[in-house]
Amino acid sequence: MSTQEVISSPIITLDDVSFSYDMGKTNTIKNVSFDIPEKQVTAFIGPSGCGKSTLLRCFNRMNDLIETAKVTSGKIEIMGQDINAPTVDAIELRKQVGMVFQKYNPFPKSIFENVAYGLRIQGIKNKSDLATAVEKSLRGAALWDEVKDRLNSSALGLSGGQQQRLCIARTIAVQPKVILMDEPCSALDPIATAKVEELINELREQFSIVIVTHSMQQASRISDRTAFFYLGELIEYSDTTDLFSAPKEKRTEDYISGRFG
Amino acid sequence: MSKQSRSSDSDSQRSFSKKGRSTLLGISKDSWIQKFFGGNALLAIVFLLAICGFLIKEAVFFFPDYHKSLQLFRQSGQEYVTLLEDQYKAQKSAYALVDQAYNIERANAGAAELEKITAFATARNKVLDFAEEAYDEWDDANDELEDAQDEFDDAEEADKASAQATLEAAQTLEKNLRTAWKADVSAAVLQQSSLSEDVKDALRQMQPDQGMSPFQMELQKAVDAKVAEFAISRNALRDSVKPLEKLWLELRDVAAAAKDKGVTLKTAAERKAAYLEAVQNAPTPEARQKAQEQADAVILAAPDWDKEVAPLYEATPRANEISKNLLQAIATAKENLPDPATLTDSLAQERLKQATPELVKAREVVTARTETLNQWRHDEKVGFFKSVTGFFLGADWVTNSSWQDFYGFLPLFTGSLLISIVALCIAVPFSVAAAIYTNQLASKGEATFIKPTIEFIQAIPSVVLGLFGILILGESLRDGAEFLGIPMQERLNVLNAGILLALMAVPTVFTLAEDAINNVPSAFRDASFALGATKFQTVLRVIVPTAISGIIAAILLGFGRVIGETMVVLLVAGNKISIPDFSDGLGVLTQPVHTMTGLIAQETGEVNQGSLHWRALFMVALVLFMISLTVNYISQTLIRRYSLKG
Repeated sequence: MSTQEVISSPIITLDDVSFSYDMGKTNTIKNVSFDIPEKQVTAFIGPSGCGKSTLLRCFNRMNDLIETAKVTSGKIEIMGQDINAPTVDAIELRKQVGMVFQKYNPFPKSIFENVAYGLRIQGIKNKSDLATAVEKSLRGAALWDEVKDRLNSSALGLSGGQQQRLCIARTIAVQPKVILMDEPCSALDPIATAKVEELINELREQFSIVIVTHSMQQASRISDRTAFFYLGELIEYSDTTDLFSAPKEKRTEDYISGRFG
Repeated sequence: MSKQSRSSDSDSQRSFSKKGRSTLLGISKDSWIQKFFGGNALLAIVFLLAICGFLIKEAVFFFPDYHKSLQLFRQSGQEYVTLLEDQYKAQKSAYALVDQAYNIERANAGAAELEKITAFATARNKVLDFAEEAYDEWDDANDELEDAQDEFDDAEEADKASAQATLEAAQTLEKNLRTAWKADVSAAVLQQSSLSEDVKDALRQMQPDQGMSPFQMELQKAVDAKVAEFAISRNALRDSVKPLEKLWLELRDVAAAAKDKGVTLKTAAERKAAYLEAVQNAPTPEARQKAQEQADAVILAAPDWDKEVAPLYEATPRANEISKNLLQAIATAKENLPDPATLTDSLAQERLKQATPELVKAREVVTARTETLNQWRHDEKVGFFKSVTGFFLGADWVTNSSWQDFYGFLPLFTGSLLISIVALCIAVPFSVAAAIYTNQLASKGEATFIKPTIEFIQAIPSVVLGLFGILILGESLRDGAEFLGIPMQERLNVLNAGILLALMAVPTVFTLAEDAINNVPSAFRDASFALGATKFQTVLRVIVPTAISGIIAAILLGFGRVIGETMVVLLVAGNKISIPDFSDGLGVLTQPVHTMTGLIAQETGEVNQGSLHWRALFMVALVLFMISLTVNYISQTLIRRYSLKG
């Protein structure tokens, strides 16, 4: 943890976090501590199985769905609250910490209903409120112009890239503070990837984004800060430009230069 | 690759060679297995086609045969008689309500008097029991008195004096014994302390040779006086139908006799045809000659239909006159019947109110049937289509009737449909909810317990369920209905069968619905949770809507399961062939019905192969098969569409 720096306004703070999928027999994430800054893009990179996606899923407690999974030590604070405290409601947490998945997964509903879903489950029924929010979110996800004429047709009729941007629109519709993205471009072609990256670039003004990516080029293109994980440990964490131009750790250097991974 | 002409490398030749594989009749093991499965699939298709063909072959002559039967029904004049019968029945059913209203009203208005009559009758029996000995003695004396009287009357002048003496002695004895009996009666009356004074007086005033006590008659008269006006209109209505009844019964015999001749002709023709066939197939000339003789002996004499039905045409003016009078009587009755509001009993009021539309209906029936009657011709051809509509829309399934058989499919179809709908209304909420719960909300332990338990229901033999329905469910339902104050006349009814079939449908619907829900990609669930949805919101807004076509398919297959079920409905549905009375609202569920499956199972064993009844049963089977096939096809299509989408 030689690269620990002080971040002035962290939105997520990790303090000695360990996580296990099997009730603590083996830790998938081992004693990780660092801060994630507000309204910036933070990229998690590392080889497969290094725990970057697992850690991302800790932030909105999606791992709760797995019965034997739990945070075995340490503390994750988001906006100053310990998210694993018994008083915290995971449902409320997820309204603040949205997530975009690796494989785009719009519901088999209309485009409109997909975006409105998060608002509807919060009990918003007023039609004009919903319409306004849906338009705003679709514009925010740079999808409005492409779908405004067919809001009521099925979301499954869109192209892959459009579907993924729809998922982003669905996420930002509920106005979270943090958006977690789990390899959002891995199922997309290069052109769709470029569009999503462009979108991420625009979203950083309103949201704090944490993105897991397999592509080091993508991390260097879009992120402000980058964390490199290896076998469940945080190896290096610094400004993206610093990490890619002058890695302090040998393993980081080996990984980014393609010697393993 | 067994022949490798270019390469001389023996190693490669051996490694690619087919020689090591075992073969049978020159076909490899894999091919055999493939052919086995392919053959089985083919066999299934062949069976399906064979079943279709068999059903159609047996059923197809139903319509022409039924047409012939209906033709004879008209030719013999039975149809004409039915037109009279309809009028009679319509009037009767209206009258029945009026009569009920009258009796209820009479019982209520004269309740005090009727109670007194009952009290008197009961007390009278007790008193007479008590004074039985005295009565017997008096009775003997009375007989003697009568004999003495006869003797005196017949006596010669010379014997008159002695006869007179005997007579007087007998009179005195009778008088004394009568007094003794009355004393006994009075003593017995004293014991009946709970009686009112007038009853006691009436009892004391009884005479041994008295039939009905004047007291009783007075009371009866008082009761009748209370409903006197009602009685007049009721009796007028009752009597108005009598001429029609007489005419109907009279002509019924005429038509039945004509029909018998028609049937005789038909069987004779069949017999002759059989003999002629024997002539063709006879092995020896002697046998041929014998068959020919037998054939010749059968004389086909077609009845002279015009003559047979002539009495009907002659009766038409009378029928018109009777109908006219009947209409008049119904109209008068409608005017003269008391206003329901003036009745003292609420049930009587209700019955009388119900009678009014029935009377209107009776008038319509009488008018319509009379009109048909006047245009009726026995020699008019019955349209072929009539046999088709008569089957599919016929409301009567009457077999082995001495009058006429009718094969109306509607009561069976309604029965089957009603039971299936009840079963699904009960089974679907339970099984779909259970499927959602097990798949989405239950812990692993619960799921491993619930799933096999529900699926185990399937293992219960349906005859066992049927017995359970007869012995336990029927009784419990009746007790429950009694407790809730709902009348339930029949233990075996739609509800009972519906509940048991629901039990049989649950495993089917549950398993398939659970599969459908299980096939919803977990990505949808994750996305919903990530947006802050609760488990319930996720299930109701994402998972169920996504799986809905699969769930509907599961429900349809459940429907196919229950509509084809036989044993339970045969045992439990009540087996009454009539369209249930839907005007009863939910009370329709307490009525007995018969079903397509139950009827086939019940009647197939008792009919002659190739008879009209036999063909009718096959027609029902064919329709049932078509329904099942359609339902299955629709659900398969739904499942396919749904699995493509998933």
